Amino acid sequence: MKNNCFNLVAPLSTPASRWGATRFASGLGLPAICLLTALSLQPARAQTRVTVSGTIKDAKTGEDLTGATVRIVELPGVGTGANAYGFYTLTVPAGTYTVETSFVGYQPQSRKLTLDKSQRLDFKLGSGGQELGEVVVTARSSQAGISKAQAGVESLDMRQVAKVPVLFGEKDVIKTMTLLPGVKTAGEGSSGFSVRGGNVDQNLILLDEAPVYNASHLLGFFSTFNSDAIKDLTVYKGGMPAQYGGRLSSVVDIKMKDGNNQELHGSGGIGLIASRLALEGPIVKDKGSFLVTGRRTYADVFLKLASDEQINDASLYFYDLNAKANYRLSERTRLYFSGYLGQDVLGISAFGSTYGNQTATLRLNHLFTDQLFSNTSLIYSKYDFGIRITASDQDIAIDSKIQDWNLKQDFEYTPSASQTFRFGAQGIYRTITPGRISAAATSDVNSTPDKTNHSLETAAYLSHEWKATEKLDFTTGLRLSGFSLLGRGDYSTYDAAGNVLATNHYEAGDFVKTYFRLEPRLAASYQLSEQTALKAGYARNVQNLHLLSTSAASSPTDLYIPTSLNVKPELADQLSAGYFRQLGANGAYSLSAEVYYKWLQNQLDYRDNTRLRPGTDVESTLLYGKGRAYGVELLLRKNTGRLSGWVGYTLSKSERQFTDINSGSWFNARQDRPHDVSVVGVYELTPKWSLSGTFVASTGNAVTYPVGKYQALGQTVSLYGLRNADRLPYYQRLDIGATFEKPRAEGKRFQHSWNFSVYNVLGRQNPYIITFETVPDDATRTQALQTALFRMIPSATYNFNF
Amino acid sequence: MKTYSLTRLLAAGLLLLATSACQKVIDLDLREADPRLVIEANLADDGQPCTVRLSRSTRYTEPNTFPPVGGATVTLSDDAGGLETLAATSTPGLYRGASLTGQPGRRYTLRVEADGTAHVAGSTMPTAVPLTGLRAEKSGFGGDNIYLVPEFQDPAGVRNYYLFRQYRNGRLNQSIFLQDDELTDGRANARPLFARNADEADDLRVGDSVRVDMQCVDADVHRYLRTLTQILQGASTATPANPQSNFSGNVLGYFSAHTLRRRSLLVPPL
Repeated sequence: MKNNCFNLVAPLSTPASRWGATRFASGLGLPAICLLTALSLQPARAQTRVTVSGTIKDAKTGEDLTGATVRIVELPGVGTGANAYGFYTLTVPAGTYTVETSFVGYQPQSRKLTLDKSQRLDFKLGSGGQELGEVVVTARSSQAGISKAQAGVESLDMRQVAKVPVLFGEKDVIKTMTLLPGVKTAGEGSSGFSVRGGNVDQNLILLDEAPVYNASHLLGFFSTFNSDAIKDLTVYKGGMPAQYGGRLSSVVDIKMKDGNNQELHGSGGIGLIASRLALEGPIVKDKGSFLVTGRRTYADVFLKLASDEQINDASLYFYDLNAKANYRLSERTRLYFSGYLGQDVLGISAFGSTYGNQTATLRLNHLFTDQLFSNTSLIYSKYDFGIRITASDQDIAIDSKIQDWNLKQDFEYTPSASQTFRFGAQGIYRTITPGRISAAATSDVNSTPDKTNHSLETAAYLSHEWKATEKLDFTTGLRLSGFSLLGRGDYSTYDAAGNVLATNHYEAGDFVKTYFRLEPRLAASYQLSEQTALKAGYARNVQNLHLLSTSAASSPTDLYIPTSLNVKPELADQLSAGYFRQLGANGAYSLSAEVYYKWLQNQLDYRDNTRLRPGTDVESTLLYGKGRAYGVELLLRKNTGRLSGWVGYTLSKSERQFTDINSGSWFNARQDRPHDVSVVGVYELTPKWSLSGTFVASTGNAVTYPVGKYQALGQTVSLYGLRNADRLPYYQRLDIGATFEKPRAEGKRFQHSWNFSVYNVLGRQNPYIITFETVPDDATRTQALQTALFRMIPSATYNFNF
Repeated sequence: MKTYSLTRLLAAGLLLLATSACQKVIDLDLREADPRLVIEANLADDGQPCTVRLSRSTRYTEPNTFPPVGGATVTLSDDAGGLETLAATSTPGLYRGASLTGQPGRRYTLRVEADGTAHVAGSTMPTAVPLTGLRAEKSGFGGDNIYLVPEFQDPAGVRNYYLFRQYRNGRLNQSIFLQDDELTDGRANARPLFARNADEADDLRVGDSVRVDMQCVDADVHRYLRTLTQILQGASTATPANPQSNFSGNVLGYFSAHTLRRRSLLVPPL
């Protein structure tokens, strides 16, 4: 298979006559001015220019190929990429050209045509087939990485994730993402993650544009993303494009598959803990398709085998349902619907608990002109958590909820091959119900008042992607974000000690408090050669939704609070720079080195000894401080050949400072792990067998150990010193896997594969938590007890498709 | 309400059953703090004088013997003009008053001067809530475990904080049973004394002779005990902190002026 990566880094040259004015501006180093001049000067200088536009799809399935590239062979440097909907547009002087399109893992295509007027040109690419040496584990950033201004962005697609060994053999795009430098899992088996030293709640996780508030199942051992439904994932670690906002540390943009619009197909799998089934097919061939997937675990089936009556009656499972449909209403208009429903159920005798996410996205793509693409989205997103206790005269329910209604309009305007403008606006109406008890009159507890709050998050943005010269690329953007806390409800102001100063009542429709913040985003890249580029960026992010957790891991009971009279919008300013290089023939290897420094303001933490209960006045328990995080990320990938994969290393620090913690001195954030190494490899042994392995090692999390002990109430009590001044022992794990794929027999629809893996094959007892206690059979001594979660978990998964 | 921590416990427990979690005792190189003064002071309304126990913290790796602190000056006063100096007893580190006794509603101030530094704490003895009965019942969550339910009527409209100590056949259960009426204001109590017993010897059986001491404590003491309990239960919080003492200065411990009510019971067949 021909490798396409190399083509994409060809020098970019733009006809100088046309861009004189904007080049002048760039000489002044004022990208913001460029943006304005480009807007005003561009039309006046146009000669006979034509636009070629269309979609790029997989020939077999009709899936949009986001990120596939299109270039004009005769005009070196003139090229573009397909957007999230597989749409591309290129405006060039009239002429006869060869238009070539390519995408990693697909056979490139080129077509020669005379462009004398604007025209539509759709591509359907065939995949590379089963030959050896196919690209398996690679991220697309290696491909487009050199010529794009954006740094700090990585992509994974499900074909890559499929062979990486994971816990319980349940392939998981979030878990695989945490193997990238700069992304760290919050703990063993956790779906929570920290990006560049940020907190777990500072990641915006989007599933087809809908935020997913708790992306974990079973307390974090699995993510909510069923691999059958997912097409790809892109994570922005820094320099987020202006169309994204709302969280400080990262954007994780996950796209669901569109479904095969050619013919009906099914697939499924039977794993150690869960089974999956998916069905996809055309609604009308070439015009629309659907996809429905389901997954359910059956841990509770095993519980039935237990002899203990209590355990055997227990329920413990989760399920996910994903559905997506799209339909082309006309050549220029396409409608999409995506939905997700997931739920965890946990029950033991009188006690039951459920939690889950629901999202729905309705999108309308419309092409106003060949150069102006529009997307309108109506998005619903909800996360709720509930506990119910029913026993004799007891009937107690505790529930909490966060719910968004989100309307979003995005435009993409591409006046020429070297410029793209994106602009749009968004409004989110959010309702949060903090934990609330509703109890029947006969119950032992009282009901608590409903403290539901409402807020409105708004944003408008403009960004400009611009190839200023052959070597210089800019992306400049500005996002204006607004936040309003709305009535009805009682809202208080507090003094520094957390005592209420004043409480006011607001009626529905009242604006309790409004904040506006400007978020500038800048990214620039300079190509030193065809294979190397230097990049730099700055981004400010604002966050108005805050998650507070009193426990070490993320928990379904974690509490979201909005910005308020006292809680200010969180701010992060990040400066980053990187060096990117492709090595070897056809870009077989790619190397990147990135550095960043991040300032965090208005960070939140609890006062010592805080207890949270339904009805607790949370704001009185909060402390406000700041943070800083900095680091270096090195990544070497092997993109082609029988062996593919990557080696990543991160050296970083993440610290916080609060006046009332550790006497106001800087202390390590919990997720501060200075050294972090990950190695991922997949080896194609034979056409049927492939082997894979991942190795991870890192410094332990920052924790607080006792510095002594004393006696109180007849018991031995640990004495604590400074917060997070100690560390868990280092973490290290090797996972291995093997995949057997039986090639599809001639004329047969049915194909199947086996996946075997062993998690933690070295059986190392990695500390999950360390507790300090009196020795159980010797009251005169104390000890440190380490709990490790998983020692060597083998698993097998059978997959099929037809 | 134990529900929140119960969810986690339950889920973790079930999952661990199904997998291969394992625990081991490890050696850690722990940092060492200078020894700190620990004050445990109690005054009840049972006619007994105030007792104060002074000791020091030690290194974590040493045996559980805590050096008593002698030679301290301990004085107790109340808001009705009462004042006395507590005398050292024959037990090292133990100081006892003689005349001043506890009266509900009164505020007491304890001053401890040791090593040239004075530490002061105040505690208000709450109004006594009568312990009207004691009964044993089986767990509402199934299983054969027996729990005791102290019977009392929580006074409505005021915050009440309770500490229970439980004795089985004369032996004190080390668990600190705490309750408050934040979610149960004005109700007749129905909540059992629930704890994960570390020691099987604390598990109740039919025929046991049991006793429950009920203390009404003030808000500061309750907060101290609550955070103490968290530490004793292990690292249930991500960022453990020392309990907030009601003493001034850099000391550990508490001064509690509380009411004390008792009930005993022979556990009947259930």
